[in-house]
Amino acid sequence: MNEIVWLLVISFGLLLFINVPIAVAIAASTFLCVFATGGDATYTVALKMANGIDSFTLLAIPFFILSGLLMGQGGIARRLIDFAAACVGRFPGGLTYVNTLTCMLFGSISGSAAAAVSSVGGFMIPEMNRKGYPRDFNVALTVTSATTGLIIPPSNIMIVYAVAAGSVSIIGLFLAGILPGILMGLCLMAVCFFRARKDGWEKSAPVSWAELSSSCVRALPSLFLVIIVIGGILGGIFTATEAAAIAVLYSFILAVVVYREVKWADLPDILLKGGITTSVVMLLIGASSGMSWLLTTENVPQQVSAALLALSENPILILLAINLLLLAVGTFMDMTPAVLIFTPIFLPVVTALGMSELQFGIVMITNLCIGLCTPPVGTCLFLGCGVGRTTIAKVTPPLLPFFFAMLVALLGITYIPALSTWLPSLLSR
Amino acid sequence: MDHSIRSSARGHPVLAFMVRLLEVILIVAMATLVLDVLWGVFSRVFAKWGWLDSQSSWTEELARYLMIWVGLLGACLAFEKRAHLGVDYFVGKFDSVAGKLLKLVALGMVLLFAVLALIIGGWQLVSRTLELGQMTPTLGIPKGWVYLAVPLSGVFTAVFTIAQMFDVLHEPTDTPVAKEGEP
Repeated sequence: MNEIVWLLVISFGLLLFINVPIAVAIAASTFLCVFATGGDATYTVALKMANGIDSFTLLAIPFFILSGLLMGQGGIARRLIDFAAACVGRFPGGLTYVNTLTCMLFGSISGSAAAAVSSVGGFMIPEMNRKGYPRDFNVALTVTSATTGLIIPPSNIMIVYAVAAGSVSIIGLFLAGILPGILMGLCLMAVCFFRARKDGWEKSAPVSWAELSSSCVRALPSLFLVIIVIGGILGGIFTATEAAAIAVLYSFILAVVVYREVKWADLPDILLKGGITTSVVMLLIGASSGMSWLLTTENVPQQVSAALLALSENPILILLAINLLLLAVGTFMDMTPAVLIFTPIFLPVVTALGMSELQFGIVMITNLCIGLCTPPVGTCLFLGCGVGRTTIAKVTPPLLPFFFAMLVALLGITYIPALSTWLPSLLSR
Repeated sequence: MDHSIRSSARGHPVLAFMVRLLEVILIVAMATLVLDVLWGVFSRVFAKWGWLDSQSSWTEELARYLMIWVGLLGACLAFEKRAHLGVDYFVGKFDSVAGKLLKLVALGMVLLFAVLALIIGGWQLVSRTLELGQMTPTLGIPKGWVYLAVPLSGVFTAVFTIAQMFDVLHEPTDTPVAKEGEP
């Protein structure tokens, strides 16, 4: 690697260490490197920042954030929990499955793992504590389950990946995420299954058909959002961005007009919160597109590709190496910049090995999902510890089996292409 | 994502006014953004049904420029409310005096970023684009005006960051700094 890349990595690491916001750390280290190579640093960073955000595709992000906020304010988490409880609550250790299933459904609808931790965890963790499940286990379960929502569509991070990868179809990515997301959920549930057997956890009474169908009917309007978005794009009625705007309209009607859980007077606050969350993501995107441009002009993708291919000719080993690198990246970097910066670097390598762009997107997101649950940058883990009133040190032992389960899912997603490519291939037929 | 809406603008009427102004702009821009894209969809449907002559051509462009403004102006509010993601894991391990110093250095870096990249770089971006006379394709406004969001965002960010630096200077040093993220 050349000196500029070292300067970039070291200055970025130092800035992160002293708690400079990640977006500023990215922009400032890029600035320093452009300056060091004698470029027009001020103008370049400003230009890349503004142009990085200037994309109609990225507009889907504020809309999914807004519809998630509208849905999250209402009693949707409650209705999904009831539905999940009717489906899987009867098994021994039932609440653990209810937690994971609700996180999968809620994460799909809201598109945010953090929202799943606070909305689902805010209710499920105290409830599980009350029923005698160990507190730290409950937090570990919620934190890891919440990340499944990022793999199950619709998902904002897939939109970021589609933009970073260039010409990847968003609906293709959405479809590609369905089976891997379910696999991840099942792997997490498997941990609960063995733990429930070992500790002999309670079993609740089976649910009647009437109860199951009534809870299903109550959860259906919320779940229908996902069908509108995916069905609408699949049917060619609208683009991903337009589908996201329709999702805002639908959740507005549901939350404000039908359920009346959100009042008109709450709307400015929701718009403000949505706007600020959007801008946090957008500043990361603007800053990362500058760094990504710098790495490309420094020929880093070619160098990394050459280094990886020199390491071994075995695709299995190269993919393993990429997974390990991405796992390491995920521990200290937030998802959005990681996707924007590392997609252009790794994508040429994996496509040369014959992996589809869709599958790599899901592999990358799964890797970074694991990073969300690890310090030092682990948004979900920190949030979960706050919600569950515990500490990272206490949550770590029960987290380990869940990490193992996520790694098993990751290996499956990496080495079984059909998991990600089968559903999208039906589309092109 | 839950933000602790901890404002550093307490007691400064000018700062409080700036925050409120940005909040109102952000709320209006977000609402316009939603309505604009929805109108894009509905106008296409109406055009198909023969209610309109053609689909509105300006919605996509307006939406893109609005998002640049939402992203950049919202970012200053996020600085003010400390909503940007960072790694507070390591700084939490320092004692209060060293922690205070590190906080000032970190805020200083944000200030440098705001002045160099956003204000100076942003102004170069605006003036060079205006000199080229580049107009936006459908709305026909000078592209330079769209980029005005960059230096403007820099000014707000710089002001909020300086205010936070004063806040840090006035923090008492004898009480231990609370470790965020580890209750």
